[in-house]
Amino acid sequence: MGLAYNIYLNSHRIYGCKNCKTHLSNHDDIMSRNFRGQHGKAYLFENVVNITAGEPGERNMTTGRHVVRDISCRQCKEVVGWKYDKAYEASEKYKEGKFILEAELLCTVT
Amino acid sequence: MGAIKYANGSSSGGKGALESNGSHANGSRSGAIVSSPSRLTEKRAALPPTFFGHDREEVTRILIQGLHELGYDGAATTLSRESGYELEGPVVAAFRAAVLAGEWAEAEALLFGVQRYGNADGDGGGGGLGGEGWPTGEVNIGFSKNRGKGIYVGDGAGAGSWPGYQHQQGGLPLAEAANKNEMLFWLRQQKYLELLERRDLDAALAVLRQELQPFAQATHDVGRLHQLSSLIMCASADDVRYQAQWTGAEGDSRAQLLSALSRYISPSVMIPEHRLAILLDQVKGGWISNCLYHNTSTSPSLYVDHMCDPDEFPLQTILELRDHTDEVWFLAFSNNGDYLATTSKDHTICIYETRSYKLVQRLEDHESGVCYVAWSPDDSKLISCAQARDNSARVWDVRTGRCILLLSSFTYPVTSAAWAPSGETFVIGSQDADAALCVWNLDGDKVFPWREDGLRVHDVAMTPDGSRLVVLLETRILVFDLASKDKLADFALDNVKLTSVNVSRNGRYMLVSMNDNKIRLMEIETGEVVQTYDGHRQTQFIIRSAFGGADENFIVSGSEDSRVYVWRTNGPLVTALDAHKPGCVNAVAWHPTDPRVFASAGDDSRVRMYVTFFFSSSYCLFCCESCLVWDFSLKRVLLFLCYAPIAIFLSCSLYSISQYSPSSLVLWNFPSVLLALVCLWAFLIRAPNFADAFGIRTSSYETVPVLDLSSIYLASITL
Repeated sequence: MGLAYNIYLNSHRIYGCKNCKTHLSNHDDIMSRNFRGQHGKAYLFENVVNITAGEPGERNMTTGRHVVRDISCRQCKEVVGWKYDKAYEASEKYKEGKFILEAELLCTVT
Repeated sequence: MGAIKYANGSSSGGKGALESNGSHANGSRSGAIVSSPSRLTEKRAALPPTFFGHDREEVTRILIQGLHELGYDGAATTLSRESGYELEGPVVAAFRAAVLAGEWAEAEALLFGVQRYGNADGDGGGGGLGGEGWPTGEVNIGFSKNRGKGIYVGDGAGAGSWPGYQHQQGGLPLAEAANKNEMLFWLRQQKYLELLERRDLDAALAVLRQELQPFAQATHDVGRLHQLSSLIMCASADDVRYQAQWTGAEGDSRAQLLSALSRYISPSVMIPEHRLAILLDQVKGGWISNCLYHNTSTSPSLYVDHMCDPDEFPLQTILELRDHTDEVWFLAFSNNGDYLATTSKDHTICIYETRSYKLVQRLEDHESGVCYVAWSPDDSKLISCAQARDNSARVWDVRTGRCILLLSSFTYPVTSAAWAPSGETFVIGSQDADAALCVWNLDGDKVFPWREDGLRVHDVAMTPDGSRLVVLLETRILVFDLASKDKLADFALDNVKLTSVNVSRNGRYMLVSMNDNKIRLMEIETGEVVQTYDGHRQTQFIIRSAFGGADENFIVSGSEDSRVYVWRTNGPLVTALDAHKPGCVNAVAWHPTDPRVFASAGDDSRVRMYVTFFFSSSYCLFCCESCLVWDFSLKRVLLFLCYAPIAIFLSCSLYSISQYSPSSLVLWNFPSVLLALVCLWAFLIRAPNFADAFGIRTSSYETVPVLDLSSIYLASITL
């Protein structure tokens, strides 16, 4: 719907979509590397741009029950990770509103 | 009239003095010369002092000046004789003559008065100065004994050394903001330049030393003095004129000097030039700024208060172009208005001709959505810019529809393009960090790439004379000089995302659209915001705005709430038209030569044409045998309904022999009543829609159902 230009980030190390190189997030925005996704390693990011979020769904993860939505690259529509909407356990609350990007689906764009 | 030399203007006998700043024209009472016969005085005394609430003297003097400027000098002198008011008193007239003749000493004396020493009462009639005494450092002129040495007359500092006291006598009353030093400087500068032009270098040097130098010391502004003194080095009169950018004594420099000085002289003594014309301009300006639908560039008539009719404004969609299959992102009329190009997410560009809006070309080479097109100045070529995967810009030949140049070296989307007025080079803006802003030529070479960090161009616009290039980054506006390629300005704005820019035809203003919900009209040179427009919505997407209307009287913009917004350029919202539901209206463009047409592009993959529609028939004849729809603008028959045998025969012969072949010929066999009902329905919903409903493309906005001759008698009965 409508024309929108991609947002471009400014930093020394930028992660982008493997498919179309759209900027997704900065290296400095990584909060934790201790995650695993469907394709292997995944990182928790504070702020991600140029994505569209899907419908929220409840999932049971290794850390407990969460409400997450899949996020995909705005341009090529490939799924790149997910976003935490709600965490049911108190120890996982820090993840709410943050994003997971799978390392396998990212590339570095400098 | 004035027997006294330095009285401020003359006054008619007994009618009261002219306004002057505190001076007394009472001196004239003793010599009050009523040169007119007593009968005229009586008549004048009988006339009321105000003219519908306006001061009689002001109105009459302005009329006298107006008559002089219109060229009716005889009428002006008759008026001034009959009313007893003079346009300019003798002093002002003498001053004017002195300046135009180049008598500088006399001009100074008349302007500032004469320094007198000694007794309190000089010649009668102490005409005072408008100013408040002498500013320090002003050089005494005229009759001072120490002329050659340039003494400074302080506030009474020198008074002690003279036996009497000094006071100013005569002189013209000056305006409130008058800067006497400046005026004196101009007079002397003119004198100096004229002496230089006559190659009288000794005299010029004397003027420089004695009369101009004290100014520099007083105002600490030596720059101008140095500049003037450097002119001594000029070799010839032409050189002097060129270096000083001065038109010469024979040119209009004296008249210009007089204009400049007259601005500082009290307006009641010397009426500002063209006063009547200025007053009329203000009246018209008031009407135009209040007129909400003002869509003409002709000056309104003075006979009637001006207010434009809303029916003349294009508020109705009369046509929807449906050739695209996905969101339409941009549209642009060609510079001469003959074509309309629309671009879409479906990778194609459609070019229509604007007489009947038929599709002329479909350019399909791009492999992703096309977000921008730019017509070359002669409308023979088109640059298109593509997004995402394609990341290229193409130059097309409009007539053949072939792509003549492909620029695919970009790794990020190309966002906009602008042609130089020569049509040989163009600027392409993209979001590529390496080649974000670059001048290319038609062979595909990079003529000049700008290298700067963080350049990701959202939009570019060029002034029509090709001198300035305005570049929009995400949060900054840059202005470049195209000839020297220098960056002239960098305006950084907070908290906004800029989406589009357009430059006005006079090259002074730029219209910038930005998120959230802001459109601003800014000056290109200073970045100052002249006007803001609000009411529309844009927060996430690229929504474009544009100038429009006759004389760029309107601003149009798309919006994310599916409406087209139109404002008057001086601020107020004219209308918000519903369009393209659901989804955004991405861009709106106004026809460059026909102010009654504009178009909008939206996310529903349609392009809507808004045209002033008027049904020009005075009445509609419903005939029983046939109905013919005639398009005045296309000069062709659009629809021909006929069913009676005679009518069918006639229509076929008309079809074959006439040059105006109908675009459709429908032969029906209907009972007459039913057809009359159909025609009535067509009239009620307005004929073009009727034609459109039958799938016939029309763009007519003047249609008239015309009766065919064979059934005229039946029609007269039914009517």
